[in-house]
Amino acid sequence: MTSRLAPLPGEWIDRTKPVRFDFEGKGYSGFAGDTVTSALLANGASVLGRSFKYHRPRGVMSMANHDVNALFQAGQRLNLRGDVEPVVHGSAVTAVNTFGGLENDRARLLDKLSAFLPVGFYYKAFHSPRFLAGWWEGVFRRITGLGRVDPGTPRIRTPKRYDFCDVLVVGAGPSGMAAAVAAAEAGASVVLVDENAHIGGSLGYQRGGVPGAPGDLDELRGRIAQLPGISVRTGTTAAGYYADHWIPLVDATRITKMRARAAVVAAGVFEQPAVFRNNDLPGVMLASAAQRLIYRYAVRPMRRALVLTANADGYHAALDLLANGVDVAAIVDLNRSTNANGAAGEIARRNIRVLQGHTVFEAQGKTAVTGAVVCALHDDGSPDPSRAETVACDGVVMSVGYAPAAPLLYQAGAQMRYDEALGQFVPATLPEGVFAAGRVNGVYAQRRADGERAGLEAARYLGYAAGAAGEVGRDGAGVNHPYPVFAHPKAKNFVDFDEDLQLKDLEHAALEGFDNIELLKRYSTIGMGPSQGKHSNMNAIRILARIMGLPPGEVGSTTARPFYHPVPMSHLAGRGFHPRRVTALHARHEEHGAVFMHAGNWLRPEYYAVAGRARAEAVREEATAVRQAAGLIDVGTLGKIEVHGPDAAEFLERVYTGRYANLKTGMTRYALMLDEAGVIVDDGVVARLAEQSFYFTTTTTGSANVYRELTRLNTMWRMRVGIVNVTGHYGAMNLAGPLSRQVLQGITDVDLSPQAYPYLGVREGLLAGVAARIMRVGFVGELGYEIHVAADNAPHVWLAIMEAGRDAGIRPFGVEAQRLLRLEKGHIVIGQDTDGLTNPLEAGMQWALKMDKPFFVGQRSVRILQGRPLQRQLVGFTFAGAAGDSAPGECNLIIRNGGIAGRVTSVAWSPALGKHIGLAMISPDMAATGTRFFVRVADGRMLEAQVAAFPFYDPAGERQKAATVEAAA
Amino acid sequence: MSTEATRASPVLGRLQALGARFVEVNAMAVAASIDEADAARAEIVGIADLSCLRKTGFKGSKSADWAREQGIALPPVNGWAQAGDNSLVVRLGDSEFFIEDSPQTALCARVIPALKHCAEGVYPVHRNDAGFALVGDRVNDLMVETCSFEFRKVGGGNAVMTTMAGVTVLVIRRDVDARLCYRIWCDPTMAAYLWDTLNEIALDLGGGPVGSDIVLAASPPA
Repeated sequence: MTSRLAPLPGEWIDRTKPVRFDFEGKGYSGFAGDTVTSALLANGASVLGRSFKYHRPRGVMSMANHDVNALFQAGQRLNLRGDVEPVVHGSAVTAVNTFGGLENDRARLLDKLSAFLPVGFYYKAFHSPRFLAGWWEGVFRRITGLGRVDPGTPRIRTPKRYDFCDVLVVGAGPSGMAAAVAAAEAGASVVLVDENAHIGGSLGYQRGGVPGAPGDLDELRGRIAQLPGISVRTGTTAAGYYADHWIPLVDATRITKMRARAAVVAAGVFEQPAVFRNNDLPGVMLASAAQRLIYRYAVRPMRRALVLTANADGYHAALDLLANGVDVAAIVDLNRSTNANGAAGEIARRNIRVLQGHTVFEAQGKTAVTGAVVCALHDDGSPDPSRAETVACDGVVMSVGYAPAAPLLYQAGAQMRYDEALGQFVPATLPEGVFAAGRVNGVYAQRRADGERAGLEAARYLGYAAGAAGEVGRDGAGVNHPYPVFAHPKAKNFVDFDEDLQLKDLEHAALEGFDNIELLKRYSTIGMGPSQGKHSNMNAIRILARIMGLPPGEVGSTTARPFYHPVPMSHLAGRGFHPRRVTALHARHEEHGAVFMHAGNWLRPEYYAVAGRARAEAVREEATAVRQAAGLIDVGTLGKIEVHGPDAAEFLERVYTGRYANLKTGMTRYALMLDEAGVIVDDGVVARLAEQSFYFTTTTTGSANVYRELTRLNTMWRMRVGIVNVTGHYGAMNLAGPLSRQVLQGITDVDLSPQAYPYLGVREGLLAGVAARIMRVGFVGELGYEIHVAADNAPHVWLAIMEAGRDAGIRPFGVEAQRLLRLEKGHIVIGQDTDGLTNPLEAGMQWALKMDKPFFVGQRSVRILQGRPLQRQLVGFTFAGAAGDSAPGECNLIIRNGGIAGRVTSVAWSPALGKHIGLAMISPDMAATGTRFFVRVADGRMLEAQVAAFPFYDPAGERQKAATVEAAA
Repeated sequence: MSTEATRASPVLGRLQALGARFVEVNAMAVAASIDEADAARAEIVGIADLSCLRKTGFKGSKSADWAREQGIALPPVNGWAQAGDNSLVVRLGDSEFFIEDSPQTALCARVIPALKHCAEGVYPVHRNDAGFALVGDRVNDLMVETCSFEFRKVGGGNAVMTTMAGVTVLVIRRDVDARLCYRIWCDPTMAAYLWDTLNEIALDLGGGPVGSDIVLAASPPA
């Protein structure tokens, strides 16, 4: 049986475009412009979904994008809101949250078991008995969750975009439209957003039985269309409010990050349900839902309605119903006298029965309304079932008040207060640049004037010459009933339709001690469902206020976090921006077959794959090449900073623990950086290029932090230096191995002879025809040259070195081989062998501290630490076993007497030494060489290890200092 | 010694994979054109690699005075100017400058040696930025997908330091042949990522990579 009405002026459907679709396996028809819900109702359907917890039948409630009990799945798209989801020709739609389909949902049995599912059931089930917690988890996971995710769903490209405007107006009802016009006419660029498919808001559907849309709507639409400064975006939700008027706008395809200079929130109100038994039956709906169905979709919501109201809007809704073929069985007014004025007179003229001081005590029916029990109210507002009667009807329409759609205002930082006269939270103070207008501001009758005021104020705030705005007073008194909540001995009087919370659930939660609105929310889960409490929070506040004997204003309200309206996951994902750094040599590494690893946001070669070789074997071969011939590693990820100026040396004296004032031009020195607590934060090598010019390296991940810290320090110290971060602008590579001098000498004009170029020297010259800085340092413990060239020259230089070293057997080596080589040499890696608390005394780096300097950052703390016993100590260790044997891993714990006595920081099999070696941070009383200790490895076994002196390899450093090729070899 | 170009663009591999036609500029192979559709793409959104252009910088409390002594055009703070010989001078703040030569000019070659011997308060800044150009009528559609700065309002003389797709960039607007064009510089280690990201969006918009001729062979702006 069709419920489609004859064409109505302003309807949103296009009757020239019929569509057909399936719902739960049955065929239905509709028109373009219909939502799934409106099309189903037009076909006579009423049950649209099942409730979350008890699987009760549910239908339309709001038709305002909040009908969370009418969520649908269409193929791979799930949890589509039927009240706004456009119906698509040829689509197949099903209800979510059913076991066996909507009609025969097997889980509806849960409704019979509701007495055994009290408030806080999840918490209680997990709390005791504990041994059942796992079982309950399985049960909950099986029966909860809405919709079915298809892991094969292709990624949908939903790129975000930024946008900008002077004034963002949220909500295109009468106040929002008026605000947009006022601001635009003052010269501001305006973006007007509305979640609906068309602008107009309540002007389009709250007509009071008058045919045609009100003149205001057409006039405002016309002015908006004529103003080029207004951009209208329908089907768009302003989903959150962040600092500096940054507002994400969510539409069907993307999120737009709107940066507004000012915002007018004219978001209106959420109509609120009354709480009575079976107020969730299909056919019980908000008055505005019935009006939307009629005027937007030309759907008759019911044939015979009972109107429950507490304000004039209910009477107007009754007139709308009457004007569109719906019988009104009666108007049940919670008030003893009506405030509906003209509408009440019209109702009286039509001989509609009005029951003053009454309420709906319960709705009747199993899957649809068949009648309603109406009873008088006591003086205290409670129902008196002894004076009840049953009224036959197939729908109950509720108009008992509203709650402000204020999440954006809360998130913007507005202070809200409860206005007793209005029975509504209204803005008390608004943040700078934020304006509220219309019903969210407590202005009902004069909302167009209030919008104009807000628009002008926003324009003036931005400096536009806008006219003076007249004051508009709040005029919503009598709209919101103070307590439309009615107890029933058989309960099922729902406060929250998302989570199936009844009045008794909130009462019990308060009795259990959760009597603060925040606690009540978390314990009962009220307001935590998909609608985020849009239709439940206000009643929950009223209920808690009554329980606690407080005014609602003292109970307060919760703030919905952004995004306060659900957003498709695909929108949140958007286009992925994950900046990734690669060195100038990346293409060379790819040519060599590098296997890359992440180091911070860098990609570095972990090792170079060799056909037929396992990873470990390839790494060992690379290390062997460095020990026996020559290897080349990309160290371009190192931080690189220059300091120039007359105070450059003194600056470094203060920043690093070592001494640099006496560093000769042409020489380098190790550099250790501490923070003010004496904790190691970075290290590197400082090279003196000229009297007033230094070039130094930092750790790979430390460059930005070090540069920022140096800049901060010099802002305080005001020394005559210029600090330049050139990390990305130089490429760097380390040529190491006994044959490295031989390889390099043929392609550089720098004299590499030991006499001319000693260990730790730095030279500038040409290498492969381009300018290079070459530092003779030995991180891996061999004769080596760290070569720095302009980043765009680096690929050329790498190639030249590899060609020059071909006969010497040169190999590129990666991070893993370098880690092994430096471990053999006992060089620590900051951040691996140290942590966020390690000081240089614990790391055995007293040698790097020049405590006789007047000052360096962290010196005072180190001095204090020197007077205290060590808490832990970095030691070397070895343990028995062959290559490939089970070995401890990094971060494995050192166990003593069942307790933790330290951890392994580095470990590897050393092909040069033929044994496993490592470093560990350990209790100082275990640090003596030869001490045995146990390491608990990943599989739980305990392996015995022994403290050993380090460096493990070439402890005298003869190889890296090699004066001749022979010495190096 | 190899006779190949001694400099390489950080996106060289990307352009080689496209089969671009290369020429050598400043010892760097540069993709002069991708294919015959360059002009069509450039009408929508074209992205060109101009990393071959020489660059340098200097900073310090006396850098503005020093620049004036060197006869370098001084733009306003956060602005840029075109030197008489068509080089670019961008002022990054009160006391920091960035210079980029055109293929025909040699301001950097003159400035770099001078910086080695300059006085206290003027310090050289080695610049090896990757340089791109975004050209076309829909460039601003690309910008709003990647950057929170409102480029629609950027005038011809402004220099903007911001982040684009998470990468720190320097951007100026320098139209070519009366077509909207932004010049973008970034750290070369971020260049491949930024290129890939911008290119992907440009392709989505109907554009894509174009050769450097689109920008460098165009009439110099007045």
